[in-house]
Amino acid sequence: MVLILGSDCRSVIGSEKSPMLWYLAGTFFSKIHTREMLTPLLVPELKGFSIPRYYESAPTIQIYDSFHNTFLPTMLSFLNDLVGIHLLILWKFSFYLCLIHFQGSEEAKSLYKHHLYLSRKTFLSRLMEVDAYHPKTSSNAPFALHLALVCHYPLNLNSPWDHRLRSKTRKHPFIPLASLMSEFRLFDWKYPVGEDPQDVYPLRAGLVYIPVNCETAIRCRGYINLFSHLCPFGRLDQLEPDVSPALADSWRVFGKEVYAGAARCSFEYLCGITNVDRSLVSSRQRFSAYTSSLRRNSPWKWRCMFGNGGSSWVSKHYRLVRPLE
Amino acid sequence: MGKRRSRPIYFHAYFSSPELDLNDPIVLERVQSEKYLLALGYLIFFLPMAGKSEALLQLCRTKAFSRRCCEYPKRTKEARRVIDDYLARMEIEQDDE
Repeated sequence: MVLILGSDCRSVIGSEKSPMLWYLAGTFFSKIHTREMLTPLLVPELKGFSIPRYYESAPTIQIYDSFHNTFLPTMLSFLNDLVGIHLLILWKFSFYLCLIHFQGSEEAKSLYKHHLYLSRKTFLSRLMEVDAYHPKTSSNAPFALHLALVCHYPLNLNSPWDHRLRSKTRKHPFIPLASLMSEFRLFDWKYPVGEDPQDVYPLRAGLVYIPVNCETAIRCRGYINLFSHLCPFGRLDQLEPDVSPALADSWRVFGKEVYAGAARCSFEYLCGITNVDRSLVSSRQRFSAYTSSLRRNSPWKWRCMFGNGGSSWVSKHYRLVRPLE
Repeated sequence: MGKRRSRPIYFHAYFSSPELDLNDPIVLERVQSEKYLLALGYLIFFLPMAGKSEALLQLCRTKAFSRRCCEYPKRTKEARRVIDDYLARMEIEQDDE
């Protein structure tokens, strides 16, 4: 199951979680399912907890998109009956608060009793918290985004990518690594005093925290939007090795498909297939042509990205959104 | 001015800053250039991990980079190498099947 939560343990409207989810679903299941699978099927018995359910989309993986005012405690009571979460996506900077909820909840303990407990070090190596509204951290958002995209582990200092980041401290654009480290210290500081994180924070393998402020990401144009929605895919390797082999295999295959999709998108952009028509004059026209071209070439993706964007920043500013037929 | 210069090269690719006037052809050119560089980086990163994709294979076999790639010869060269590697890898996988 894939579960998407929003900011502060709830979902807020217009934070672009759904396009990301749809991209995920569309990418993962595009070969065997049509668009109709994305039609939300509300679950009436869950008051205040409207969930589009994509049960048909896969035999083993279910995707839940949390709607407005979906709070974690409510979620937990619901999840208690479920087998487990394959991937928990916490959108934006909500992770700490989620942990608070997990911490004292018997339901959470019950829910997570079979799940892996990560060491404090591993825990810290997996998470970043970037609040774009916070004056001290806002400047790190783009770098966190990039790190999330290009690194298996955002701060695995043994990886070549991070080595590259470190080795170009002065000139490389991603160098605010030091700043990110300070973010980690900040995060560390938030641990409840005297408590062992291993006891307090039972995190399940496969958890992905999206360390990017999505409003920031959404303010990017063109393909950058798409890449921002690829955040979770770049980090699928976070699965613990002792996860069941079947699940790990499925994610590995999934990862390859996603990487291929991402590479194709990059390639299309680089070839100019989805690029701006240079003969056009104004930037508005250019962008419009650009997006039209993109829609023509990748209609599914664009609809995934903007299909429901009534409240999205993109739709407000560029009127890209066309309702699904 | 100093602040602007110190900004990372991908800054405008990530942000829609109020100070960014896309009606200004110079600014637009810079943003597009940044995006292109970023996309090159993504291709170089994603392609080695990519699985088989007919669409991607078709692209790799038939399409060439746009002229803007001349702005980044090193990365372009690396990207082409990655593409060649991908095609070779796919051929081997196909043979194995």
